[in-house]
Amino acid sequence: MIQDDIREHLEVYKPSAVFSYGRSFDTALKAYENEVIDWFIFLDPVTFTGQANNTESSNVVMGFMKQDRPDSSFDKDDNLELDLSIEEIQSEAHTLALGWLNDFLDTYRKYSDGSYTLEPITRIKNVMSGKLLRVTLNGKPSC
Amino acid sequence: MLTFAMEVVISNFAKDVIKILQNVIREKPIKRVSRRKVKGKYVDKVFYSPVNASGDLAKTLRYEITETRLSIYANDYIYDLVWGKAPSKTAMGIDFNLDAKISKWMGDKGISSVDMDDSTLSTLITNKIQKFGSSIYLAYQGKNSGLLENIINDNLIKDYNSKFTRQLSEDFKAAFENGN
Repeated sequence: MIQDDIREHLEVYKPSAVFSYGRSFDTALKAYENEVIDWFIFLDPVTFTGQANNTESSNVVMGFMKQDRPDSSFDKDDNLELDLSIEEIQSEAHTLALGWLNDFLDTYRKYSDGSYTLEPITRIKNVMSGKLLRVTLNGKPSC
Repeated sequence: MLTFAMEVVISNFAKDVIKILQNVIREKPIKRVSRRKVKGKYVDKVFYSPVNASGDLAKTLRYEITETRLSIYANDYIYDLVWGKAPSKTAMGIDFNLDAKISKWMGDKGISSVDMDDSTLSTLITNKIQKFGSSIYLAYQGKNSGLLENIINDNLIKDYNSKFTRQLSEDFKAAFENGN
């Protein structure tokens, strides 16, 4: 299953990240609140679409987030603290999400039609900021 | 249960609405009427000014997402900015609560008088509001000042409508295909 492939890949690609799948975001946040030191990567339920040529399409929606300190500011010019500003977190999340996607496609022989979106996540639940990646992955089912 | 993606879409919508509200509170000029006594007669002067240029109210805006509802909260002072503060029915004595708020507002804005001390000035302003109502009330006579009108425009609704619909369809598809 694609979610297992993603979990397995992230353990190697970003070992310091905490990955969650199959829980509500609230539950995951509570469960991992003391474990998230670096990145928190949250995968929404995946939609699968089988195709006649034995390929499978998976609609993947993943949040790449970091804890956002309450004293950080959206505008980094105003943010004199050492904590990353929201826009810096979002910029890093953008890079991480695309880097991960490319590596995952290479490693698991999946392909994408090249269309993806990366939406900002801004201080969701007042604690996390980052980017939301939506992408459709195609390829033969891994099991 | 809301999916994470739906929660992100709704929270982005809420944040956009809050940003617009903050701008409106800080910058949208609202008609006001100031009433002064000149040679024994009350004279009204119309002016236009943002309702909360200091931005304190704007900072109190927050949102809450539940399974069924998106709520945006603000300090209840916003009610007085939309409808104006009506003359107090108990005009017999000073409204100490209002007096304290006026006193704080004067401090925040650096308002003082060369003729009298700050507490006397705040009491005079409080008395005036109790007697005539606030400048917004005087301008609109208890009707809606229009502060919050037209801030959620068609483009914003259209933009988020398509995002909501797309996300709802994707969530439905995921739930359906996963047998939920």
